[in-house]
Amino acid sequence: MMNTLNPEIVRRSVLEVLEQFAMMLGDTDERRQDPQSQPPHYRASIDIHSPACLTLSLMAPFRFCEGLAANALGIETTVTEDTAQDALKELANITAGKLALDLFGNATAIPLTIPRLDIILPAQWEEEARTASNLLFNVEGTPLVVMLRQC
Amino acid sequence: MPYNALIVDDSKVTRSMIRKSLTLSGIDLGEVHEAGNGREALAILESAWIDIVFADLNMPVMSGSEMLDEMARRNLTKNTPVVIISTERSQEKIDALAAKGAQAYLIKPFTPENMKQIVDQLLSPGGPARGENT
Repeated sequence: MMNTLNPEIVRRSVLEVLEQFAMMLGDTDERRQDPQSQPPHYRASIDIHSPACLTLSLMAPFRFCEGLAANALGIETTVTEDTAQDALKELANITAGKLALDLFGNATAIPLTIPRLDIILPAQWEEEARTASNLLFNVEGTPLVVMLRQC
Repeated sequence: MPYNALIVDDSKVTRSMIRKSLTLSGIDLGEVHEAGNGREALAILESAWIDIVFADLNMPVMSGSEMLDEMARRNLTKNTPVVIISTERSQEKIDALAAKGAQAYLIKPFTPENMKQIVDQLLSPGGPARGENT
């Protein structure tokens, strides 16, 4: 699905939102050499109700979510698990809005669902990170996997 | 004169970011209230003086759009400007929310400068807020 929607658009949307939302820089990791990372891993998903319903999922370890929350809030203190999860959901939310615009324009309303979050097992994380149709990012030393599929 | 604000978003991180942006923008802030959905926001609006509301659209229990409908029904949008802060960017949606009484629309992610510009416009003496019927 990602290929038919131009992965470059998805890549650019994710990187732009990361920079604007949390001042974090990264890029896709084409080599996929070391997708392993310390659990827990979270998955934030949101549906984009375009003519073809799409689900955007962002998957990342706690360490990424912790850094995301700290950067977005401009704090250096410890981030709680709830806050880290909330930050990943909000990143999914903002990325979905940007993707909806970049893929379908702003002529008609494209409703988004409320982001949902679940914990994924380490084996599933590794599988998703290695799946060629998913985008694997290296964001300031931590991995982020982005998947776009039909609902 | 300090302004009391109400921030309505189901994301605690976003509520904190809006609060921080308000502080950084140099606006003369009074009390800042927070609500996790439209229903909680309506309860605060009934019990506290609020000069400006910042609300998300997609929230559980009661959405920002439903909250606007209820505010209009209770005559609350006449005196209290509502700024919608959302990721949805379609002009159709923005126009529909304006028709319901939203006075400004801010797209996430936003900067403190974006926020200050909107607040200055809405709360300035010549602006539409503070008792004016818009």
